[in-house]
Amino acid sequence: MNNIVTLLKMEFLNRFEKISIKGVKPVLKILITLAISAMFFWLILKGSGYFFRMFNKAGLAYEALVIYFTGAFLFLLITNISSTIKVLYFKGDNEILMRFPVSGWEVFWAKTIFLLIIQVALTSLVSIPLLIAYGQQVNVTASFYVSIPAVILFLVFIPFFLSNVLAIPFMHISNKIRHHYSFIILALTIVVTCIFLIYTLIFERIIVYIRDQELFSVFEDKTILIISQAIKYLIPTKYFAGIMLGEFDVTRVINRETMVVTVGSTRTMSYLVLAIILELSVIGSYLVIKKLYRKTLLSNIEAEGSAFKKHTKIKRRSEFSTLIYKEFIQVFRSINYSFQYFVLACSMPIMAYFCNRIALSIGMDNIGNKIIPGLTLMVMLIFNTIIVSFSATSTTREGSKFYHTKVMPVPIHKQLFVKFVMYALVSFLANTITIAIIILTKQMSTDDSFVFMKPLAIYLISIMISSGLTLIAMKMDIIKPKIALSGDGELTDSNSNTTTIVLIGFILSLLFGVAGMLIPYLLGVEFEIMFYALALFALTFLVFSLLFYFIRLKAAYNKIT
Amino acid sequence: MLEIKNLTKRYRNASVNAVEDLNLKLNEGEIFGFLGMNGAGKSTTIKCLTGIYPFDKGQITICGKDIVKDNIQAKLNIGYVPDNHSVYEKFTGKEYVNYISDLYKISVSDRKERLEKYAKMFRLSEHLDKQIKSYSHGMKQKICIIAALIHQPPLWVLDEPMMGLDPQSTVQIVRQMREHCQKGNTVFFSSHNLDMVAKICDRAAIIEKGKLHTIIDLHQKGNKETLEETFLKITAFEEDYE
Repeated sequence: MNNIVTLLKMEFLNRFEKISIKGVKPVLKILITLAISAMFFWLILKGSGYFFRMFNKAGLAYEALVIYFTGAFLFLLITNISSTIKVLYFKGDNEILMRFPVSGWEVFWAKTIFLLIIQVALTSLVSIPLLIAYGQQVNVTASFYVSIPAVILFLVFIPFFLSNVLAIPFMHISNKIRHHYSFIILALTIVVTCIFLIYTLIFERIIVYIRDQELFSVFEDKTILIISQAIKYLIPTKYFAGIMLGEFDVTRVINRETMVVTVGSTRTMSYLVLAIILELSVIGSYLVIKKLYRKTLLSNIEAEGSAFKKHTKIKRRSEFSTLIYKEFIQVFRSINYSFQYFVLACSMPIMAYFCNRIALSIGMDNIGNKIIPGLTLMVMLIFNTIIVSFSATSTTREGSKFYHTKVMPVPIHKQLFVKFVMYALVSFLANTITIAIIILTKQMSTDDSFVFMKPLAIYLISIMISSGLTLIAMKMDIIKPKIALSGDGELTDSNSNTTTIVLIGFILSLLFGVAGMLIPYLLGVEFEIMFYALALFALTFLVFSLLFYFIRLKAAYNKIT
Repeated sequence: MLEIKNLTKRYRNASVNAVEDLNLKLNEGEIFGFLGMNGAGKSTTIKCLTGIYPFDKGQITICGKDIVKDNIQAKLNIGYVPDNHSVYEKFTGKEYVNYISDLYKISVSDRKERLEKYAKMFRLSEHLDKQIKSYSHGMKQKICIIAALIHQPPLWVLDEPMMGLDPQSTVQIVRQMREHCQKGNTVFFSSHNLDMVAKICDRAAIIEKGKLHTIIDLHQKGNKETLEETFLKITAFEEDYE
């Protein structure tokens, strides 16, 4: 028992900084965290309020709650599988812990308790405001609020124990595909794009609802029937809603006919089903761990050292192509870096397209059409910022290999130019595809003389801002690199340069986007003139970035030791 | 081959020089040992001469090329093996050597022939297609050595090269050092292994608190035998004498 407590303490000390209230800085830090948490709480309260009100108007309040619990359950299950694999099975500190006189069983319990505490805290943080918002929108009884703690506990414990059962097969699959980089990147791109897509579609529905709250329902009759039928099969999540709402009658209008439907399940039945599922997952988890934990842990420590093998031909490349090849391999053979570099770039065209679609749905005769160019520019700049933020660690990522860049017989300017090309390439492609989609889907109006210039102007502004941000990010990292990296030499946390460049990028996106959207609309300034002005600002920013980058570049680089 | 004149280097925020007024001249075809305690300035000197660290005063020339003014030409003449055997671990061994060969503009036939020779010598042939991430410390050190030798540099610089190596590989490195020198090239290496330095070096320098204390000609009678004693005398703490 003592060992478990010691290991648990170690786990907490390892993950979190000690909270101190001595001095201005720590107090300020606590206050900022509290303010951010309050803002987060308020945002969930407001956002989910619209979501639940929209469903409630269609007589789908129960279904909305089941949808939330399904989303939360799946999210917790996936994150739990990932945490279980990382914390319990992957090397990390396991190799160190196994050398100490502690049993595998004690290591397992300490890590399990740690994971559970974190999960309860996070689930409560997200679920409580969301369920309060539900209570505000839908008529609920006191038992709804009383059942919140029980629901949170079920919501944490069932996915947790199920994830223990599923972690081992998942881990074997991940060990099998760990060196199939193209496959993993492709899968990640599809998943991220789908998440964005679902998010945008829901957001689109909410916008339609906010625009016209007089509307009886944003859902078609067919959609209502599909949702209410599908919900019946969502086990065990429909029982979470059952605990909170019980069984009740609801009035719906389908095909202009009013009908009363009984939804939900009795509280007793819901508690019983969830208790059985929890018990089964606990037993399953116990058996898996008892039989396989130590064995899997040891075999996994061994598997992590397994080599990726690739037969390559010896061939000669030019200096430029060999340097870009090296940059590409460093990114492509790291899931973490690939995600930052490729995956978000792939999502940019889809996000720009759907955001425009939402704007257009506000109404062609209304402001929708007029704000499209500015909105497209803002979405493109936001995504460019995220893509470009990767270049803010261009020097830092060299880590202990930094000496290579100093020793190799290639001028520093050339090496950095290659890095710039590498980063610019992906944002250039993302920008080109985005603008091509917007032109092909005719999302911009063709009723003025500026028809061909609009996409071109947006494209040029986007490219100029993205190039400028890349140059600033690279120079900032040269001035203040964080060469020491952890783990297998990969960067695990982004440094302050990343935060700064994201902040600059978002401010620029907002300024350019708002100027592009609102000024032509509010002040009646000709769109053409507005975009010439924005292009001029972008050019000025690019020139400033070039100066910032080149002035004392070599001296700053040589200073890095 | 290598000439260091009045080299002075002080780190930022440091109160003393890491290397002070260091002068050294290495001849063609010699193996030169660089000795000193931890923190004496060996690695700093090596990092200055390879272009990793900027320095405050002095001049370093390699094959007549100034490391500051004509740095690309100077670097083309150096093969460097670092003490931490840090390499791009996402490459396979072969990809890494090919990458270095491209930077030093080595012909395909030369790189193929040399890679085959060195991989065989260091018993790394079977691992060349594996990602370096999976290599042991010794294997990483070997791939660094191969990459440093692939362009047959006139000046081969090694920082603590024998650390973590098996006895067979150590013998191979010593053999390679000798072979490299016989071709008229120079080997400059830092080490804590006094026996090794006495055995293979033509000359050795002892650096103490950033200052070059002495250069010993190991071909002169008696110097090999007394190297350890000389080193300990120079680097001993005052209380050792009391």
